[in-house]
Amino acid sequence: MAQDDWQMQIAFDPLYQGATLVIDDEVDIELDSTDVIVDMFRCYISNIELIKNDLVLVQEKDSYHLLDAEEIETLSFTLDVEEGVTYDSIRFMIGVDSLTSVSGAMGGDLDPTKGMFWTWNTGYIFFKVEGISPICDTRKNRFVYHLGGYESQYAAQQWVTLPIMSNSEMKITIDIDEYIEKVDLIDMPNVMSPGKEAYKYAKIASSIFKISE
Amino acid sequence: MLIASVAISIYACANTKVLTTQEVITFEVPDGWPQPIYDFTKNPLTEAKIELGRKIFYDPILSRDSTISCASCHLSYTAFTHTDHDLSHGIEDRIGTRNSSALTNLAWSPYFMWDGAINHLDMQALAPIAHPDEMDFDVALVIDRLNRNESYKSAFAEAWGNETATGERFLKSISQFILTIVTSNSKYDQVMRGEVGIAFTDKEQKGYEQFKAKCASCHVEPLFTDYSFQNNGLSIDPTLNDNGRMMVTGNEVDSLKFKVPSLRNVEFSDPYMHDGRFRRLKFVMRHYGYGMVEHDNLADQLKGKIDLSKNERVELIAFLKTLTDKEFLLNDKFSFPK
Repeated sequence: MAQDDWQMQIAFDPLYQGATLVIDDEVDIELDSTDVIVDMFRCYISNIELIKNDLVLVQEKDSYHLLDAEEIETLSFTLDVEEGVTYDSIRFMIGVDSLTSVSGAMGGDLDPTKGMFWTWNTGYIFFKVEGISPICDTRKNRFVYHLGGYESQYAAQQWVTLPIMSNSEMKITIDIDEYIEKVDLIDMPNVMSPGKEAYKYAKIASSIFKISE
Repeated sequence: MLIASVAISIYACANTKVLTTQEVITFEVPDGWPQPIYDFTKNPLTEAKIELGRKIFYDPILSRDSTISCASCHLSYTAFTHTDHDLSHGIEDRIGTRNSSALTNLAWSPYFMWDGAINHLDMQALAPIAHPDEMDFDVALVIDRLNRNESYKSAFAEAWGNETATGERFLKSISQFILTIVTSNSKYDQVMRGEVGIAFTDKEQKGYEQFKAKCASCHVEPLFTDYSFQNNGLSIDPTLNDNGRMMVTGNEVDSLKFKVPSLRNVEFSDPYMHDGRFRRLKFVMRHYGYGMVEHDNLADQLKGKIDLSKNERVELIAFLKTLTDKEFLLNDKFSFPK
């Protein structure tokens, strides 16, 4: 029993413009020409592993977590770990593995009612960022990034490995500013299907997960 | 007393054989058919779940304005497709871009839709629910509606042991009903099984020979499809510009390729082709005889055309009509729930 009681808290913190991203429906203010408002951030974190000396010591079962900046309780969860072990690193996937993507209806965070499933071309959306900026020459100045795709050539799942500083809690920052800086809001404000662009942008998405100082 | 107790034990013994609606039902594979693709271990069939799926299938509650059900475009009496409509219409009579598929023997299908865009039967229903020309709704809102509906609460409780509808339970229930829609008792099947007193007529037999020589390489028995995607020489309809499989893979070699459809109940699944352009089987024959466009990626089997004399076409159609399964088309288990 005692072993099960040892847990590591993992908390994700989506940071934007110097603070935790707050999704507010009531953005009504006059935007400056270069403002970029982010009003949606969701992503799947899956297949979490804890590693020590290059060995995988912990593999979370049914490891699928949907992070949603609008629902703060989704941003942190706990992992069962072994008492007294100090792990070197955590490894996880951004997205949903291909096997699960072709295995039919799932429950929990993978339930297709969660708004993270393409209906016209089966598969999970791994990473969603949406918002508004006057620099986007689109309907209502919106930009929409729905990244996913599980089929070979442009399979968009990304593995992330980060060092572990403490065996009781870890904070992982999601640097939304960096994503917004690296994507092309002017020429590519919409990516909503699997393919070359989604693959390229998923690579960018994987680089914004960082250990908090 | 002794007699009474014996009688009771016999009764109890017999009683254990009565199926409850929660008992797992084994999916029966017709003799000589391949094993199904659908993984029943992940969604074991029960009567309560099949019935729930059937209730959902026939319920317009799935559409935004509660006018369109699955059955609107997939009628049991016409092999679960939309007869007389080249392109199926959905909510507010909006017209889609494709002819609705016949929902039969889907346990054997490795993918769904004319272009294979859907990878699993469970996920198929999400597409028409969300499509603006079909049900124009959102599955999360469908689930909200079901959770506020007393009759669904009791149906989910009976099927899933819990009155709460979730996306997973909802989709798996629909799959269960669809999976039971098996057609395997046409005259063709009876002849192949060697049933007493059943034989092809001369005309049907000659048509079967034609079929085996000229059609069966794609329409492979006994499911009458090989589940491949082929370009079958249809000209592009400039009002639709439907590129088929290429729209899924993004690969030019898949341009204008569509799923090879099963021919079971083909007599009743008119009109034909992905856009329903041919109203009658004879038009299909003419297309393969002299109507095909020589696209670069025309299916190899169709190069050189399928040249049939008028008599041979009549014979082939006579054979195709032996694929009609009347018992299936009129089966009460598949029709509107009472």
